[in-house]
Amino acid sequence: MQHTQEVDESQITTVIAEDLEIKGTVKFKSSLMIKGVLEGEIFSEGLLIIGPTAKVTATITTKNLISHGEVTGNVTASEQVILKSTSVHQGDITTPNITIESGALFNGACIMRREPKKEMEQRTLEKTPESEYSSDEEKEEYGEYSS
Amino acid sequence: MFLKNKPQMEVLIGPETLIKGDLLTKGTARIDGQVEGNVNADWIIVGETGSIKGEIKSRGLIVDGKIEGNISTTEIVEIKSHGEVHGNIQTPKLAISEGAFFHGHSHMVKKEGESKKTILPLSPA
Repeated sequence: MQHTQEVDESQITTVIAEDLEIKGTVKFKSSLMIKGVLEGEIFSEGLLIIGPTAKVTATITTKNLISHGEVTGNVTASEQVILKSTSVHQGDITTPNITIESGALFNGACIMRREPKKEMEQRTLEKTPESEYSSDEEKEEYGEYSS
Repeated sequence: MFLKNKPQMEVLIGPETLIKGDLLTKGTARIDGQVEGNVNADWIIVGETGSIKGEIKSRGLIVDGKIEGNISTTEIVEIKSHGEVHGNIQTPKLAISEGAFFHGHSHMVKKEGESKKTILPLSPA
């Protein structure tokens, strides 16, 4: 299970240290790593990493989420969610891609939407009125007979 | 692929097979075909071509195919990268590979020995 690349901490713009506690709304664009305690809301267009020591109680909207710690709250990630083996997640997850490592604890709903599959479903639905095909064939047949 | 499990392979449903009805076995069931009905086994392996429409109860479950229905296991649920699950999962251990699809609720309670991080409020006895 070591296939996923470990995140280089020096590459992360903001790190919330272990002894830091935050209450409120957090907004960021690039990357944030939480090692401390956070309560409130998180809005991001980038990467959110929740460290193994972190405790987050928040509604999270982000692009990517990698969690090693404890999260309570609903998560919406536009790209992907990774729950590492040490993570504990209580709340719903909405994302197109999810990876859960063995050992992680997840209680909540997982809502996944994938565009290509929806299109395929729609196509099959559109196909169902077969009367069009048969009527076309009939017209051709009649055409042949009449000529 | 992942055939090396301790219990005996009792049921093997080939890719060109459709079964309507419940499936009960004490051994391992490998399903590469279609099953429409509930499946109850020690271990269940759903291959890439396999699909199940119904409730699933087992000790362990590995899915690389499609499942539509609720899942309840006592040990582990593993959804592989081609796997697709539509339904609720109840298990102490859940692993989902990248690329897998899971739409539903997950209810997990750790087994004894682990620190009980998720304890549901119990009604007084």
